[in-house]
Amino acid sequence: MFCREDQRYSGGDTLSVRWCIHPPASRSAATGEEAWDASIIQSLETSVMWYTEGKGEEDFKVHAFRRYGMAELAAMELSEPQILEAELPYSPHSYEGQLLRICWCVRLRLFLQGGDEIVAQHPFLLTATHAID
Amino acid sequence: MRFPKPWSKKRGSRQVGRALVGTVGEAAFFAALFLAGVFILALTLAQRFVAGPWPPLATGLGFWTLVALAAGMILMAGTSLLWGVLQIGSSRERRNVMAGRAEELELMGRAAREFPAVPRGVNLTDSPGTRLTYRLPATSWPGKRLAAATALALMWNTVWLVLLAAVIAGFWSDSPRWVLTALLFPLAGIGVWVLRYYVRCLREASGVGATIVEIDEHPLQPGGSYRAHVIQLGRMTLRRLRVELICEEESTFRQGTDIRVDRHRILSEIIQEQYNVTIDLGRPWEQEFQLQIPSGAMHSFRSPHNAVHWKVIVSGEARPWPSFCQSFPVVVQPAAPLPKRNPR
Repeated sequence: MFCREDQRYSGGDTLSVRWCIHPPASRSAATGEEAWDASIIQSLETSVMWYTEGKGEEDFKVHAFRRYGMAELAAMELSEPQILEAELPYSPHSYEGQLLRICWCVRLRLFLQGGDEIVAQHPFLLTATHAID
Repeated sequence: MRFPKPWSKKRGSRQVGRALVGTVGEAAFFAALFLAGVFILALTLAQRFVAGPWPPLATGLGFWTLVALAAGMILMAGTSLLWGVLQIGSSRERRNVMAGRAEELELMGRAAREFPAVPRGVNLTDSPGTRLTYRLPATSWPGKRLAAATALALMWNTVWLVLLAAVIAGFWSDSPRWVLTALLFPLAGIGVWVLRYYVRCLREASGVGATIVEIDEHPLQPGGSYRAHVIQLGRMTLRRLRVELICEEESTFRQGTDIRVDRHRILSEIIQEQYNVTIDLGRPWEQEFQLQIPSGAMHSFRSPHNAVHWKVIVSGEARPWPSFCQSFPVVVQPAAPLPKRNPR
C-alpha cells in the first residue's frame, strides 16, 4: 500500500510503502490446527526500481534494494505490515511514448524452498512537479 | 508426471522451466563440456610429447586443430559455468545493485549524478561560443564523406595504375597478359566513376560550409526559454533553410541475429524557415532565435537500449548541391530545485 492514494511522486519525495505477505497455511501434525508457514520463504528482496517497456530491449535500474535473509525473516512477522521507505531520484520520469515506456515500481521477490520464486510488482508514477524559475 | 526441464528459456518476459533447475542443468552441461575439453587437450598433448608405445602425433594441422578445439571448449564452457554459478540464488535486481555499487566505487571522488539516466552532455559545453555562451558540437563530421571518397578514389586508381604497369611490362617482355588487359577497361570505368564522385563531394564540401549553433545556457529544462544563434557558412543559393527543434525516441532491439535501431519523432517544432537564401563567403546566413522547451516535455534519457534525444537540426535544400542536414544534440534535464551550474 502506497503512502499516496494517487501513487504519484516527484523527485526528492520519500516513497513509503507498507507491505505484508500471507504465506500459505499448513495443518500442524501435532495439534491439527492450521497456521501460517513462513519457513517456506528462504529469502525476500524488496526493490524500488524503474524498467523500460516497448520496442527496444528491456533496461532497468534498481534505485533502492534490500534483501532479507532467513535469520531476518524468522524475526519478522510477515503477515503484519512492513514499511519500505526510499527517497526518490529526480529522474527518469515515468513516461509513455510510442516506442518506449518508462515504468517505476516496487517489486517484492520471494525465494521459496525448492528454488521457486514469486514476484509481486506494484507500479507508481515519478513525475515532474517543480516549475522552472 | 512432468520431469523438470534441465534448461531455462526466456520467452518474452515469461520464463519457461524452473529457474533453479534450469540453471543447475546448464551448469552441469557446461561442466561436462569443460571436462571434455580438458580431456581432449591432455590426450593430444600426451600423444605429442609423452613417449610411449603409441606413435607420436606430428605437430601439423591436425594437432593444432585439436588444441584449438579443446582450448575453445575450455574457455567457452569455463566462462559459461562461472556465469551460471554466479547467477544461482541471485536475482536480476540484486545483480543490478551490485553492478551499481561497483560503478559507484569507480566514480568515487567524482560528483554523484544529480539526474540518473539523463546524459550529462559534458562534451556539449566544451567549446565556448563567439556570440553566445556555448558552441554546440554536431553529431557528424561533414567532411567524413569527402574523406571516404578521397581514400576510395586514391586507392582504386593506385591499384589500377599498378595493374596498368603490369600489363605494359607484359607487352614489353613479349608475354602479354590478355585477361588482365581486358579487365583494365571495366576497372578504368569504375575508377572514372569514383573520381567523379570524389569531385562531387569536393564541390559540395567547398560549397556547403560549416554550420554553427550557439546557445546561451546548457543543459536545458522543460518550460525554459533559451537564446540560440545559427550561422551557416559557405557559398550557395538555398531553396530553403530550416532550423528545427526535435525530440525523438530511440530503441535498440534484436531481430534474429541483427541489431536494429528504431527512431520515432515525438516533437518537431520549426523554429526558423526561410526560402531563397543566398550565402556568400563573406556574408554567412545568421539568425538568433528563442528555443522554447515545452513545459510538459520528457527530459533527455539514455539507457543501454533506449533513449530520448533532443536535437537542434539545421537543414537546407541547396542548388546545385544536394540537401544538407546537420544535427546538434542538446540535453534537457528534468526540472528540479537544484542550484544551476555556472555556465562558464
